[in-house]
Amino acid sequence: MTTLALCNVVKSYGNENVLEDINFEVDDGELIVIVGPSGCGKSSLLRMVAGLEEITAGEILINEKVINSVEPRDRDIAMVFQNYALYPHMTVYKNMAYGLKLRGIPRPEIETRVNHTATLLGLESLLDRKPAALSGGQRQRVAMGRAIVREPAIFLFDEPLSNLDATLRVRMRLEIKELQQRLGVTSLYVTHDQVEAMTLADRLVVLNEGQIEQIDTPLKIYQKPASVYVAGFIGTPAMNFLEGTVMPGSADRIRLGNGVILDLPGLGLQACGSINVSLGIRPDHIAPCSMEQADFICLVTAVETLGSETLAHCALNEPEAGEMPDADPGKPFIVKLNGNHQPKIHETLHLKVKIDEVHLFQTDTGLRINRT
Amino acid sequence: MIENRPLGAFFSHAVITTGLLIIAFPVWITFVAATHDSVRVSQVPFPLIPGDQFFVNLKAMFSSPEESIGGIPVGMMMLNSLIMALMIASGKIVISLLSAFAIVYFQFRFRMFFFWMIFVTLMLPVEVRILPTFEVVADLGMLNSYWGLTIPLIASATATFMFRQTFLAVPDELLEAARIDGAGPMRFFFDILLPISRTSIAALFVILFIFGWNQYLWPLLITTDKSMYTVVMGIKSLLETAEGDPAWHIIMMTALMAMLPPVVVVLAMQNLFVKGLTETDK
Repeated sequence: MTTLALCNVVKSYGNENVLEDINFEVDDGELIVIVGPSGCGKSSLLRMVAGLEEITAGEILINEKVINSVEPRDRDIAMVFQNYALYPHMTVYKNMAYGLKLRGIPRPEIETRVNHTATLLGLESLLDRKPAALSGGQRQRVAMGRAIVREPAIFLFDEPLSNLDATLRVRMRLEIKELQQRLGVTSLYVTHDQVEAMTLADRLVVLNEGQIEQIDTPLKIYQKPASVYVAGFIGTPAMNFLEGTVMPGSADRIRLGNGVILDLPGLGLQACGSINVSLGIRPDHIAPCSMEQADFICLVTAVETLGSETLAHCALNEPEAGEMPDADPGKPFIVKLNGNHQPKIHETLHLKVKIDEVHLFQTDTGLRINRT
Repeated sequence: MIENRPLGAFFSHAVITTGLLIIAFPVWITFVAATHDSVRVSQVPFPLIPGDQFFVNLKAMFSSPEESIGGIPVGMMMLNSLIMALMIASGKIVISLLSAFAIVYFQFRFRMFFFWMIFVTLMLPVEVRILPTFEVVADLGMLNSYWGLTIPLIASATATFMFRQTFLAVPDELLEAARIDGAGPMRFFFDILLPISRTSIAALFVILFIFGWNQYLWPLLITTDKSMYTVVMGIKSLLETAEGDPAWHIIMMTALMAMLPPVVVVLAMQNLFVKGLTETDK
């Protein structure tokens, strides 16, 4: 069943469209993560679902009812804010009970529900405290509790973890995921952190400049990004891009800007004239090799040691030429190496690309070219 | 930064002590005068050591108004002052809270116009508009009444402005959370906004209470009936005795009494007062 549906939703401030033609559906119990850089309109989208911002055009449906002009309190939603928005003068118990009280739920029932939720989140011992006396993680949990206790049709999360430190963020991330699955509540989760997005989502909505770039499961998005934008946004370290053209006459062969020629079997582009393409290679899909097998030769310009792996920032050159190009700091080519492999700066690396894992995009539209 | 310069420490202490003496000396004189009898007070040199007449004078002040103050009991004046100060302080707070709430949280036509209109009244204190205000109050038949004493002083730009700043500092998410929880505007006002503005309200109450208590010119104009006199203006009328010297020991005792309520309010609300003026984190 569809719990939430957005049909041709548009949001504009004045003449400027912040969101354009947003369409997607959320199934019952699903956790959808909306991810994008700041200013892409993801928070506006969430706030429109919550009823905190007006919808310029289109329709939003909750449980198959259009709720465009329904007050937030009547939308059957609960929201967790980035700064938690706990009422500072109320105890944890009262914070959680406030929404229930306003709905006229009898006191004994409020008590059972709040206590039940507190047990679920491990907040029993904190019920009498005020938010100021709680740590960041505890506040976050109370904010969750306030949402859960209402038993809404949809949870809305607005970057709930970005005010926490890194360790706590990882832990709360798992906790949210586990809780959401246990309760089976449909959720819409907004974040700019792509790792958070990947780990939490049942399905991912990648938003860029007010438009949806791709909607799919995290793995599919990682493996088959629909556009250059998605490819560059999802995955750390970011994908490397090389510009090239499909060689006229030979459909499977690509000539890169630096003169390297790569064979991509199954590309099957019927090129009439030359087509400009962007070649996307993840740092994981390049490996050092012997000089004879090398697709690229490159010069190491910087090294990041992460322990389990080493990231080498390189400047590329064609295999035949003897001289090395100057390092281009604007667009490094990153290679992920084994943790024990510690190349020196200005060392030469011979690299082999996993041809099957290379992504191709049209340069002018930025869209993916599928290979068979 | 921790400095350890004995000369500097000595100098700054000297400045502080001098300042304190300048401020405290008149209060001390008042107190001393209130502890002597009428004869000793009018002698030269003026005594600087407290005498033993404090309770006698206290009793005289409260019990025999006809002798000393032209027939107005000091207790009555203190009560009038108290009622006036409380009405002004609470009236100002209620009105300012509501107008700041409207200006910050509601979108309506000419919102900023109204805000600036309120702001402009800062330039028009009672003293400036005293004649027209008197005219209005007289025409409304509010002379010699608590309403006449307080209403013209209630409308307040300062308090409105201060509450506006307080409300602007409240994060928007609180309002949004309350809306999702199902609170309407007035619910939000009473359940969320008022409690979190508690310290600001207390700080303003202290300031406004003292402002109200110390009113002199306006009560002087508006009250002709002695039963409506306030203590601050009453002290002045004590000086106007028909025959003989003014009863300085009683006057000083009354002045001492007039100082007391503001001191009590400040002491009692000190913590909230400081928090309300310094706290920025809501």
